[in-house]
Amino acid sequence: MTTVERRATAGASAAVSRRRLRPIRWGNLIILAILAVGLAATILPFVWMVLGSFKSNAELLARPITWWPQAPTLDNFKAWFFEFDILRPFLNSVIVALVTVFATLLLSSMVGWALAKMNFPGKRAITVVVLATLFVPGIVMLIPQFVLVANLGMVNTYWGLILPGMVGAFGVFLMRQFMLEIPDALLDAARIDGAGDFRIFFQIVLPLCKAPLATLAIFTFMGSWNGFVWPLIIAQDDSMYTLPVSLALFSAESGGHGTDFGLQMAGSFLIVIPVLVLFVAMQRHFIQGITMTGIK
Amino acid sequence: MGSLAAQRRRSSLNAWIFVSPFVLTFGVFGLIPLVSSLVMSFTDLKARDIRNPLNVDFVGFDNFVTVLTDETFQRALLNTLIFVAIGVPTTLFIALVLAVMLNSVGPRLATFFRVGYYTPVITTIVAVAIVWRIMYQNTGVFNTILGWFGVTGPNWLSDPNTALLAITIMAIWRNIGVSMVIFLAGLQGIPSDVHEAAALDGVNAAQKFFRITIPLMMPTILLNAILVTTGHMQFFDEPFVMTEGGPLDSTTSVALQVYNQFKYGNYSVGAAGAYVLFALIGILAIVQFRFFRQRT
Amino acid sequence: MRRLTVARATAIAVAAALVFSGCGRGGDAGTSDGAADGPAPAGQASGEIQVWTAGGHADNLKKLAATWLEANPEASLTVTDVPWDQVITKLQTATAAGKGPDIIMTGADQTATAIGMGAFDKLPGGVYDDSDFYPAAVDSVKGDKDALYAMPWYVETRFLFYRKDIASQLGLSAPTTWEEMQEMAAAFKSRPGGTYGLNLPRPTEQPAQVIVPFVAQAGGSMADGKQWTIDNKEFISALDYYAGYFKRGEAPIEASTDATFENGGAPMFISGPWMLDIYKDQIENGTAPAGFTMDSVGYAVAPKGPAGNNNQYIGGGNLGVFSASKNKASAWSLVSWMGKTQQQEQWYDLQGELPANTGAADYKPIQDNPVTSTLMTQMKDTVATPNYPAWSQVSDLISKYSEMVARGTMSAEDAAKEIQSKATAIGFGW
Repeated sequence: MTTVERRATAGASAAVSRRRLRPIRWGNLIILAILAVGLAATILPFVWMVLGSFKSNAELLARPITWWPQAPTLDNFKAWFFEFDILRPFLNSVIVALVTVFATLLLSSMVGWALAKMNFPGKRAITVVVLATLFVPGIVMLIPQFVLVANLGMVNTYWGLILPGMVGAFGVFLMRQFMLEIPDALLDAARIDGAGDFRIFFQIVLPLCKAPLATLAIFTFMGSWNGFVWPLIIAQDDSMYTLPVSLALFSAESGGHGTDFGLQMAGSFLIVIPVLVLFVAMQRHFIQGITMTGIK
Repeated sequence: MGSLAAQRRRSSLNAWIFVSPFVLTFGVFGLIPLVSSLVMSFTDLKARDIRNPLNVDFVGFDNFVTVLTDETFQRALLNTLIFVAIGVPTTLFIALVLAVMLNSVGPRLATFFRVGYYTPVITTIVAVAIVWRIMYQNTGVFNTILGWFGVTGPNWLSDPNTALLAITIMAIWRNIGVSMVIFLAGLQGIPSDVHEAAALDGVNAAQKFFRITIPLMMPTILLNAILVTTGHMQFFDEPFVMTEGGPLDSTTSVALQVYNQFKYGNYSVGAAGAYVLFALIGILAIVQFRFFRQRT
Repeated sequence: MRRLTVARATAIAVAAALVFSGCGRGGDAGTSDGAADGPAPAGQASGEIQVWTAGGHADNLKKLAATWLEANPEASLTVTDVPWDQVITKLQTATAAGKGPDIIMTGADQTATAIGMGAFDKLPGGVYDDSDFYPAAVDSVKGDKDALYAMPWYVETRFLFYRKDIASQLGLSAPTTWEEMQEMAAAFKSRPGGTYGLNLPRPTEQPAQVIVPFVAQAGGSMADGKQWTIDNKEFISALDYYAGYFKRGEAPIEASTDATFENGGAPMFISGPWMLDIYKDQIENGTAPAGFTMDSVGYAVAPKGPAGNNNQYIGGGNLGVFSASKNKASAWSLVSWMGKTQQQEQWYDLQGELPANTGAADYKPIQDNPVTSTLMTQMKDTVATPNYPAWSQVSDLISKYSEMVARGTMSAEDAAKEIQSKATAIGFGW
């Protein structure tokens, strides 16, 4: 009886393990194949951009198209670094992006914290109004924002470039959602130890928020780094241009008639590199950050 | 008792210290422009008034009437809704399937694929547009593949019957990355014992996907649906760089029409169009919220 | 509770906005009429002068202005270039801010819009004599009631390109009339191995740039100074002529095609001389198709229409002084200097662009170059883009309806009626 039983369980477990092993292995291969095909289709334009940055404009305009550069050239990159002073717009972009990211992280987490865990008059109104602006199409704001910035005398200044980028509702939403999940017991314990609101926030809450802050940092950095329309309007000369503006202007102006696509590909490639590096470096936190915001 | 009131006062004072930096910036650079563009939509503000934006007449709902009775705007509205109706579910479905697949491969491979699938999000629209235009040519990649199956493909972008579909496919490709990352985060929040239990019960992959994953993921799907819908309603980049709304207005969108009004200097008409868009986005978000709440 | 808060917030916001926005169109805002000071006397310009050029003119302008700066030691110059399609956006924002450069360059077809928004000051006396310049170029710097606001800097026009080698195989030479051009297109298309007869700007590529000249060649014009004049037989015949090439399949209406001028798929088009540089580059780089050499490229003045003229689109760049400039006298002084014959000739040497001042038309290097001499012949017969702020909107209407005609879903007559009624509703936009 016991032998039979044992044999039966052995057979069952063999069946289980067979079922677990074989189909999963096949399934995995199929999954990998699908993922690989999808990936190939997905990265095609990116690869084209990288390859295109080593082609001359004439080659990019020629038909039929070439995939691999027929006459590989570094001219596009040389033009960016030597003919065109890329350093100034690069620094402008770095300053604007870093200040915007830092200010957005600080302001969003502060307001997110107050909205999540504090009680005060006006809380509901702020929550409703700020979250409602999540649904405002960006184009609504463009003209009045500009008139305002112009009247404040901030045209062609870093303030004008940075301040309107700091009012995103997404960061507030993200931080508030995450902070709602922080257990009250933790805060009460700190309060009993005599910690005030500010110490709790900076010494306990912020260190817990690394993941959502990383998520917000990447989104904000990407938005600021790639922003085009606003800096184009606000920056009036090349001392204030950011990289995307310079990219569009320089590759459009060379030759005067028509865009130099080779230059544009190289410029796009150069612009993407920091974002790509940042994403690769922070993507683990990035996804963890979204996971932990209670969005589940 | 008095000290409790004092404590409460102090705590709301602290709360206001937390929220005031954001609220002030948001009030000045977010709320004022938002409301003044609402006011603008009831005036006759045009390019010629740009030096005296206060020097305008109120015209009631004229601009809204102009916008809503314009046949091009009506076409744009229809296109936008078709784009949302096709694009949003497809994006969400593919992103969810990809996320589930990525979740089942090893961590190294997952990282690799994750970065790859994210490249469309960080590649500039300029490079994207060039490649997709080539792929959609008569003799391009799509028609070559269709040719293998004996199908003669259309001239995607210049046939009024297929242009919107072509643009929608491209937008899906561009948007999958963000949704996929959010789904991945949601999947990581599903306790692993749920999957193990399912595996022991001999549930196959499709059953697991529809009976376990999707119900558990409903909150993430809701968030994603609202984010993707809000983004899709503002459908602009793709037609702007690929077709400028043609052929025969078949790819024009509400945001593109609003942009055109700004371009022509008809700021007040543009603002009215933008608010129509805002209202629609809000309505859709509420509808989705209701729909998903019933399901969970 | 929640609804109440939203309502209250909205009420506060609207109240704030009303205060913020003010009300009422008090009197005529108008463009600045203060006929400002004339140009500073030669050698006495001073201070920093900021210039916004458009479409890649900054580097050579700096070279050109070097001698002027020597003659005006108190003045200095900063030049920033803006891409063509961003000029209007930049001007809108600079004008709204009341902060910007001193001199602004606009394309001929952008100048009316710039004047309409008040970006330019009226032209003071003593800058240039408009009878020295091409009349069609001067038309492009006129505002409401024909007042002048800027100076034409250089001009450009389009001519006809065709594949000389293919044409001679077919026994054809450069077409001189609409009919001959049509015959050539048909012959190109139906030849063995032929794909299309020519390339025309497709309806999504601002077809007004060829339709407006076609209207002129048919003896019409787009406006009579009081209103748009579109619903008439000249416009209809121009639109029919344009759309016919697409209907007969002689011009590709597809957004992307593998038929190019270089490979003989589309062996004719109307464009500017810069195309020659592109072909030269391609041939030197080895990216041009086999057998395509500079000898394959033929060019000629445009064919004549039924009215017996071959008027072509005139474009170019204009220079005006920004209405909020703090250094107007010096700015006008530089503009005025740039319009003089000698500088106009020098500009041709530097940038290869044609002088707007007719006094430089006979400059020997221009006449010795076969390309520019053909262009200068064409320059005698030109038509300006309608110079009204609302032109870009009307031009987009023409794009839209010409597409319907080209695809055969509407007749040219109905299209003309539709465009006319919509354009009349839009007005000129002053």
